[in-house]
Amino acid sequence: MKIILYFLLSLVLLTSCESFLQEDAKGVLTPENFFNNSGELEGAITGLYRTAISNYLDGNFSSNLMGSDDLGTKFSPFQEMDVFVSNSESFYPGVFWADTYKTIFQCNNIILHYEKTPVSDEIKQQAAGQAYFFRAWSYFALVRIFNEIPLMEDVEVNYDMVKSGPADVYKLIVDDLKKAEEWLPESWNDGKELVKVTQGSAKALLAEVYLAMAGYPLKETANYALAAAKAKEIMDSGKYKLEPYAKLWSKDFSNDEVIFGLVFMNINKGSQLETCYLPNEYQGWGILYSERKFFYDFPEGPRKNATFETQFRTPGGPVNWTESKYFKNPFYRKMMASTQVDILDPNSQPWNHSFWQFDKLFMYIRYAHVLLTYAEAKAMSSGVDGSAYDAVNEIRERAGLSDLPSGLSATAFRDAVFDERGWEFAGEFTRWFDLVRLERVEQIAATRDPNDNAIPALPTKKNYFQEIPANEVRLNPNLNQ
Amino acid sequence: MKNRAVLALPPCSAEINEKQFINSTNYKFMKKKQNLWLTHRAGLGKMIKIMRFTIFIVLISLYQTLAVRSYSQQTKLTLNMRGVSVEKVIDEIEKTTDFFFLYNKNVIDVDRKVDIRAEGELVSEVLDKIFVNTDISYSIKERQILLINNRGPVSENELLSQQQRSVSGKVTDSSGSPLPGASVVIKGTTNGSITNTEGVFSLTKVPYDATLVVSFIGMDTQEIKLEGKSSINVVMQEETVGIKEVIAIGYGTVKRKDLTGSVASVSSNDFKAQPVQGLSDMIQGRVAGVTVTSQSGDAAANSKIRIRGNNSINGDNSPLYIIDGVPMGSFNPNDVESIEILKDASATAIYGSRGANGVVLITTKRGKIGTPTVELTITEGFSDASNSVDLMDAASYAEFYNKYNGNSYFTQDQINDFKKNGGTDWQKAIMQTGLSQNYQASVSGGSEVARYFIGANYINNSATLENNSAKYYGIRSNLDLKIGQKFTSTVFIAAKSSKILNSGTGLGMNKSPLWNCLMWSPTAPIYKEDGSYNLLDPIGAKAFNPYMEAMERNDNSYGRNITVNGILGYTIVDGLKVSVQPAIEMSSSESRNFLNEYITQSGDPSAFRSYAETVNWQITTLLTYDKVLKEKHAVNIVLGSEVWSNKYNYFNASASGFSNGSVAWYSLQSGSNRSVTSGYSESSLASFFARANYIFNSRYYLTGSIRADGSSKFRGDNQFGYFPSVAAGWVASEETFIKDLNFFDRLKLRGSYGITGSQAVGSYSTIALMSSYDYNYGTTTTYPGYILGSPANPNLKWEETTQFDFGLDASLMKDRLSVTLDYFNKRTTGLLTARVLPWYSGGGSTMINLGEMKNCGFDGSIAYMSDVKKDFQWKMMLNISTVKNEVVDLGDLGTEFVPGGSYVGVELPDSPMIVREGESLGSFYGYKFLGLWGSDEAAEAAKYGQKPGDNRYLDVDTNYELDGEDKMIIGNYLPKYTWGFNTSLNYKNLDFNLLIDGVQDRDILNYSYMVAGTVVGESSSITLKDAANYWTPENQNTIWTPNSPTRREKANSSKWVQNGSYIKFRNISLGYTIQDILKGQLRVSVSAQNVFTITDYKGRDPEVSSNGYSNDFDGGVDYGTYPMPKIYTIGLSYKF
Repeated sequence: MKIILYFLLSLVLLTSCESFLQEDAKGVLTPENFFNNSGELEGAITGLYRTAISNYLDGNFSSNLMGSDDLGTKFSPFQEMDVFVSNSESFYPGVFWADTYKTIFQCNNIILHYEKTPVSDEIKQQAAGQAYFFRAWSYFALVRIFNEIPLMEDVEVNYDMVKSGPADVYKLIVDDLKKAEEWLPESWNDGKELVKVTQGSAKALLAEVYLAMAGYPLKETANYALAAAKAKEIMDSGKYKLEPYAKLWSKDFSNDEVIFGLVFMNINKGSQLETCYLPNEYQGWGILYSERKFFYDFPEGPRKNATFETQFRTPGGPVNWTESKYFKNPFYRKMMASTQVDILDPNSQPWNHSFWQFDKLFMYIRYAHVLLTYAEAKAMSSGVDGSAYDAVNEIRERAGLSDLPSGLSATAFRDAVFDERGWEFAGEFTRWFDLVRLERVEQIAATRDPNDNAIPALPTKKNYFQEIPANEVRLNPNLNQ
Repeated sequence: MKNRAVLALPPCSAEINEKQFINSTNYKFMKKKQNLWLTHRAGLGKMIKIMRFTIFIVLISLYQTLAVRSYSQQTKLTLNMRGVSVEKVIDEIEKTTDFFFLYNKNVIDVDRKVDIRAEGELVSEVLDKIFVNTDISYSIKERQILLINNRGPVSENELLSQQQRSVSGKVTDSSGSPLPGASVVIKGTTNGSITNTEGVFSLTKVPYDATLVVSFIGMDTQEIKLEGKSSINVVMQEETVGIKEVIAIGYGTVKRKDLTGSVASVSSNDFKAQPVQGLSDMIQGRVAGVTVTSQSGDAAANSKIRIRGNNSINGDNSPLYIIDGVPMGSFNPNDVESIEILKDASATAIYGSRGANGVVLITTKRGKIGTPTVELTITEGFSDASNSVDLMDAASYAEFYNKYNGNSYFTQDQINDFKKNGGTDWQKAIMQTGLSQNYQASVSGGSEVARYFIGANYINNSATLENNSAKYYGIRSNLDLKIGQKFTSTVFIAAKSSKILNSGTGLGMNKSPLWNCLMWSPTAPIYKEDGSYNLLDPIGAKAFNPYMEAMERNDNSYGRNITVNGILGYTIVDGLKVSVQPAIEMSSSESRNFLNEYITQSGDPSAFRSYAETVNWQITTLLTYDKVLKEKHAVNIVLGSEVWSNKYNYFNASASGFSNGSVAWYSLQSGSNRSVTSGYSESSLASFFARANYIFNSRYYLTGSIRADGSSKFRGDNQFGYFPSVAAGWVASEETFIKDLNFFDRLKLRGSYGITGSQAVGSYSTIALMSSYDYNYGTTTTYPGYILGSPANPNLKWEETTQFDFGLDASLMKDRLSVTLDYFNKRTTGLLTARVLPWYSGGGSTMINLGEMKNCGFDGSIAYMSDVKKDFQWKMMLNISTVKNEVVDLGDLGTEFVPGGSYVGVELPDSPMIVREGESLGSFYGYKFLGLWGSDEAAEAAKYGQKPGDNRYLDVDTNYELDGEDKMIIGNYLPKYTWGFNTSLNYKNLDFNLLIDGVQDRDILNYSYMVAGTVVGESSSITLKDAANYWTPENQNTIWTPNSPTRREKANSSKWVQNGSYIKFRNISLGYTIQDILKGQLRVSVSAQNVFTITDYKGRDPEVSSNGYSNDFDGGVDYGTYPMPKIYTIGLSYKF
């Protein structure tokens, strides 16, 4: 009869099974119980940095910029953008879209919830300032690549979003950067200062944003003045200065020119971007190199020498780029230095390494950007003056070039600065946006060297922007309209 | 009744002179009946036909327990008869008392007239009076009275008995239960005996070299050579083609003939001729309605088993596995007695929320009463994966490369050198001849009180890919105990341990040697001149040196599993039983992984060690009532409750930055970057269930069941689900109008309807989670970071499958030919589906219940078996299944969706598959390839920005753009038909077994062919032999493009969809059994597995797939998968 008792007992057990069937979610963190202390707030910021930086470490971003003359490729999926045949099904724009919105998603989560953390307003705002900065930076990249995009400021599931035009997107970017500028500290002193964004980062990005708004497609030229003013604030702060070229492109991560840089290093965070820039001779993939015409037009001097790798070192002696067995183009020497392989060291053997991921500082905005933005914006807003000449000539001087001829008109001066930006930031993801902003894409494409990839049909304004990835449109057909 | 019946005799006693009971043609126990009826009146009726000896044993034991004091000592007789025959007196005693008489009419003169007068006398006193002054004596045992003629017939036999001997023994069934009433006859004579209640028989005067013939109704007749043995034990086997066999169903057993649901059964006899290493080997090709697909040729590969189609989009469609009644544990192939596959809702609804995908019941072997039986099996084999993609050799590759790229990258000297010395065959370099060893040993036996089965095995496989191997050790002990008259107990203990080296190398996904070897140029050497690995193929691939990757991997996983499972049963009253089955499983898995400087992308060695532990327990309580009422009404009722709990804990630690890489995972603290993670999850299930079976007159059947399941994975009102089923059956062959046809031995029609569930979501699926995402800010310190994951859905609930089944079972030709045919129709609603989120909403996916899926089809099998008593025997079984899957409704997802996940290696941002309403799951989605643009189509090609020689795709909306609007369904990987054919031939000691299976009407997206044949993704060069025939204005009839930036090679194009139908010769084996060697039986066999595949497919193996291991919307994509090896084995099996 005992057995029957057990049977009844198990029935009783079941009737009180509510607690037996209760999930005990120990060991997992849920959004409901997050942002409870400063450590969790800082943890969310750390997660945001990793998310943001992961988007750039493998070179996907550069695929969108291939239409530019400073970047050429033989890598077939990148080639679609290089010869202007990409569409909504193209792979890499879709990857960049996804990864950029991932960053925005984390920013939105922090912006929506940071206030509930029981810490001082200063700490809260410093945290939020970083989220605002990254959201602005992410939208700035998206709007310049896709133009019309869904402007998401929440973390909700929404299948009905409609596209926002660039005016609305830029408005959010400017608002976010103003908050970031106000709330971010001038500097950090918590061991993470190498990477963390500062007030200066926000100002410099804002100057770039104003400059972009003044050009295509918004063409709100009033922003030239704002760009110049913001750039001037940085120049006047004295916090940043041009570094000698040798230091700038060395394997040293800390320098006084970088205003906003991405640092890739260690466990799974190393960068394959470097591998994209390394020629096959150096065990790289050789995906990113310079198109020929851009190289030919590049003024000779120490900057050109530091920018390009034209002689590839091999075990059998140096091989000129024109004689390479692989891709007969000059490669970007300035992108090749890392802690693992120091190309700049003449004794290094870059053909002899076994890895694809590199510790790397990628300078997204450096002081040179501020100077040239100032020069162009100043000229285009209140006319060419001595300060504009000073700014551009500071760059030319370091490049080993003579000063610009005086007495240039505003547009002629702007064109000179455009060329200067091209050379100064060659291979640095700046040129394409200048081509779009100043509507030079068609012109540059028309003069491509016949030895570079042939363009089946010359680009039009339609090719200025990538189409919204097809997957996203499939999930939300509103994005098609 | 033929000549067999059940006779209950008390254990033979030495006093009985048994010679009178043998040696007679008109052998007769009872005075009136010529048949061997049991006759007595002890409250059980004069004559009882008892076919189910189990019930009889219960009755006998009841009767025995009642007889506390000796009946003969208590019972007083009163008789007053004159001038009557002895027979008449005996009759009278039998009529008025419970005594019954046993005697041989030939030696006892019962016609002799006697007078008898007795007043309240004991039976012995009465008998003394009757037989005074005769040669007849008597012996009383309880109610039985044996009459013996002391003189007996004196014959030569008596004289011979000096050389003859007595033999005794025991006859049991395959479960070890004694078989009373079995006939044991000396071959060639009519001498024999019948076993008693304990299954024991005893024979005297048995010639030294006699053969005994043992027979029992419903069992295979056996012949046993004595060869001087005086004691033998006989285990009778159920007739193999038999509707009489007893099979396992959920929480009980039933005779096959009494099934109302659709249940397929595979017994150890079916696969004993084939070397089996796991469940898939046992059932593949043998069961209608079951599709078994091997995932890869990996030493530790799993199989995908699907019963009647694919119910769920995102949920796991694997069936529920129950081993000896519990959903946990491990088993060795050699331990398996039988496997039952529950297919329809009537069979599976008793498993409620876990039954929707069918249930596989695995029953392990149990000890049988008798002397120990020892079985040893050794199988040694080698395997070979000779199916490779047909690639160019180095010289033709070099020539091709120069021509294709219009340069002279390879000099003529180099080409000549390749012609002379060859290059690297990367596929060959990474493959090896695999070796396998499989040792199995078991011992079983037992007594009335305790029976045991102990089995152990060892399997060691080195696979066909270099540096990939698996070892398994297992042991099992099954113990059955009988405790007194009312308690029974069984304890199953099983332990298993595994060690797997570099598992997953076979998956062929991105960055696997099997994928990379298709891309690396044959001109690139494995090693550089200095002897170190060649790290770079400058013109071939952005991928690791495949050989280096295969050889340098060092990923060890260890698994351990211990399961203890017990059943305690108690018979309350006749027919009413209660049992409690507690079980606990403790398993752990450990991983030790080292990535040296060659195979870390950063060049920084890293090591990893993890440990995970799972504890599952379950307690099932069952109340079973089984009774036949008024002969015509058989009732079986099961009531039960069950609680199940799962707890999972893990931690792992990793480090990189080793100054000395040799320490690997042994000393993680020597790495400079260390990280530790740990985690926990749990889930539980609480259930009640009930089932009732009712059979009227062995003709009409009705079954109903219901289960209520509560799961911790769901919340609120969704926590409990209810799963009912009903089924009915009609044995038409019992009706006279069918009987009159004289065609069917048995014909049964059955139908069922029911609802089952699936809770195929992980723990915490209803809760949104933050996940860890650390970053070091460019320093050497790792700071903890967290990111918000996908949002959760608190309203998740069960997915429910409603299934209708109509089936027919028929047997003909004296049960030699049997046919089973089922039609099923399943509708699954509330599909647990991962709804892909837009990237601006965070991306990833969230689980929701939506929509509806339909699966319908037929499964049928036909089996034939020749007369088992002849020297030449032939058995065959053919089964065929069809399944039609349709996605009926996708609810909020709209009319279609493309699953997430990226295919970076071939540059697809998401899966090349689509789930679309009105279409089958498993559809490939992409562009329709129309060939290459011809020279005369230059103008049209230019409208697409292309030129002749470029790929041409169907422009559905004719907008001269190749965009999303142009994509369409271009194939489907789910087979429409699957079939299996199994045949065995036996001639005397020689046996032959052949198993063939096939799948028809399916497609494969062959990325291995694409990556070898084109420049796409990480592959920068063309290595495929076919692709050397590329387009030129002079050679336009080809699919291979010239070097062109506008070729637009699309991975998701019908160009890469190939016919994936195949027929595989799964097993061919030949065995020879040598009887009577070293007192045992030795079987020597050779076999070959997967030796022939008939297919049009151009990849390595149409069976395996790189994707879709758990989700069925995904699958059929060949990412350079690990082919199933051809295995050749030799086996020795020794039994004594």
